[in-house]
Amino acid sequence: MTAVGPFEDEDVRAVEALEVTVTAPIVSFRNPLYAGVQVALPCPPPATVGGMLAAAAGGWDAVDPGTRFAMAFRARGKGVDLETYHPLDATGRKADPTPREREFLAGVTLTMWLVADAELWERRLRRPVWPLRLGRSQDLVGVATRRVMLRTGPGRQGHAVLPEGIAPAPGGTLLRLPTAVSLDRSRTRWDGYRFDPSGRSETPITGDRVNEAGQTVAFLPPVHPAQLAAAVGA
Amino acid sequence: MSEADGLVSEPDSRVSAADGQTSEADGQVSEPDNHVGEDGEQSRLVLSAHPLQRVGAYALAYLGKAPSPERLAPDAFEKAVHRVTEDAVRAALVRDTRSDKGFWLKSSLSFFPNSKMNHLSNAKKDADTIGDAVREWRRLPKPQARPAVACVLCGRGAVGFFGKVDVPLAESDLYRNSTPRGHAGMALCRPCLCSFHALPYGCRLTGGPSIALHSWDEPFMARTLSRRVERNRRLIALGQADPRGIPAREVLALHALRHHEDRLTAGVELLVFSNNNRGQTLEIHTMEQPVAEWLRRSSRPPRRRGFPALLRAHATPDRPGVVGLARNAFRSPDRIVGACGRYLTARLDRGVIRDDTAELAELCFSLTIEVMRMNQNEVDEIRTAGAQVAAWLKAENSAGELRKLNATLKEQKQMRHWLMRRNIDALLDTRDRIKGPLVTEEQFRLLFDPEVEQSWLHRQLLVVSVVQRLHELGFKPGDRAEVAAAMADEDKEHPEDIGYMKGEES
Repeated sequence: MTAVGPFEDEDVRAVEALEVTVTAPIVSFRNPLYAGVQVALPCPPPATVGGMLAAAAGGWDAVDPGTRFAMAFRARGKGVDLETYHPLDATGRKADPTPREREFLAGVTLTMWLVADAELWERRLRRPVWPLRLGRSQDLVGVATRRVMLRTGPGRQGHAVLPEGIAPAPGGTLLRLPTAVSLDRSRTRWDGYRFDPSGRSETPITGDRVNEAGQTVAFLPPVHPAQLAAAVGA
Repeated sequence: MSEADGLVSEPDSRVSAADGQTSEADGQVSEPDNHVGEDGEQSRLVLSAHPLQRVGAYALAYLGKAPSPERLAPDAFEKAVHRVTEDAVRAALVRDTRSDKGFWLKSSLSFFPNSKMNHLSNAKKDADTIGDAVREWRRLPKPQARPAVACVLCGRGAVGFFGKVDVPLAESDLYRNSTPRGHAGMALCRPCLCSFHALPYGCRLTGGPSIALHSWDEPFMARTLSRRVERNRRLIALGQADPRGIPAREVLALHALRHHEDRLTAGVELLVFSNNNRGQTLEIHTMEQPVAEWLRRSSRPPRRRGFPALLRAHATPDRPGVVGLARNAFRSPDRIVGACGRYLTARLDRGVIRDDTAELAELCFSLTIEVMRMNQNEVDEIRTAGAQVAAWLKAENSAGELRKLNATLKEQKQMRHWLMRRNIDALLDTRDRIKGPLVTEEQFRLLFDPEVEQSWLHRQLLVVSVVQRLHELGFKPGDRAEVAAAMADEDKEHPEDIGYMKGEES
């Protein structure tokens, strides 16, 4: 990646990146640990976002196993509604539909940054192989891309989803989120992440990069299922 | 817990997964010691990403007398699992949840509904049948019955698929929405499964929804769970509910924080859940690390001098302060500042400064810096302005002026006008009692500039600092003693708050 653009004079290590903005009116990222109740996570797990990228590419086989991205997430509101749950009876008999509470997030914006293969991802997201969805299968999402410059240095935490271990510790909640899920869905890699849903934390965060608006850009671990074998000592 | 008190049951002569001995009851030989496996992995706990599994793992560790789950040796693990199973058998033999010793059985309905432990048909069965059924339910599946898949939580070899009967909040095995036929849900290894079986030992049991306190801070988990398990072991042995009643659920976290000696490295989660057949529920309340650590430090020396005032600031006639404080800590820590401000200014309309002002004000400022991450320079500016205003009020020695300032608290426009007017008065005062302006341009901006995001907080802190400084200056208008005596009854401590300060868990 060559160093060009407005940061060129002040930081020769500035890199060009693809900034992907995903918007959706309603999403629900269920905590996969609890199947009987629908508890929502405050932000999408990296594995979910990776799945959306894989859908754009046409499947995990088309995705470089080393693909990494940074992300920030913002929801304008949250709530709980009732959805009709249709149990599939184990005995094969017809079961009665039941109402079940479901937490959701409203008016969400997911911002991602990809540095490697930016042009390829730009093409894929412009014309995805599979429909792009985020945390709710019945709705498609809006996607916009643009090229931005990222430079080194500390940035504002804001709505960034940060890998655990950044020092000093950022504000927000420490979450354990799925990073990668194996292709047969039998195994999951979990990692620690920090996320502040309010986005109010002004603590300077030394991530990998910072964008022109001062938002820190911290790249997350690879989400490709191929990473799972190395990550989990099974 | 000693064996003498009867709470420790020795492994009996029946078959157990732990001992692999011959059952006297059925005369069959159980499988060999296959739970250990090649490397004993089916007898070694691993902490996973599942909070409830972690709570259960710590409970097992404590039952096995290990400092942490990872350090629980296989033999001790087996003994702990055996104890959990035998406790389940003992509870099942009570048969009736309404009996004097039925609390543990009643609690099991919120964890393992429709299990062999509490099945409706148990009322008609003899003791041996029930005991065998419960032990069989908890027994390690035979190798040929195990699926060739990994545990979904830790990645080690699973011993079977498990649903709601074993894992709270998992999908019921009656449904097949996420699993194929013949596949009961979560693939789990034996240590993870046993952690869920031991989960009740690590929860505050109510008979209804249970409360689990969880954190990613491992020393906090070890200490908190050891206290909880110790208490539950007594209750389980007696089969009775905790006679001390159930405080507000959030207060459990405050008690745990008060007893934790080390700095917290993570926040605290409160999981209120029920696996009952009438409806599974889960609420997760999160207290972030900064406020958890602030509360921990504030209730312990050397800061604890102001803590009674903090509790009083949150108390209402029908609610202890510890409840209000705990709820604010979980839901909105900035409300703690508001509560402190209201408490300190509650009597200003009568010209009275409370005796505990200095200690509470210091706690309040520490909260703004450590929890709300307010810039230290801005806090210093606010405190400087407060000191200047207090000096002017002291020089005036007028309860009336203090009342006027108090009257502006709810209306920023009035406060702005009051400060601007007194600023000019102070500058024009030929007696030169105040050095410099009451409020500088920068301080004025912090207090009233709409571009300053937390200006409302700054105004609250200004009043806190004014009252704090007046207290230091010994501001005592003429009628103070009389008014203070009349209000003495209002300061009576709530019994639950006194108990908290003594370290007693309610």
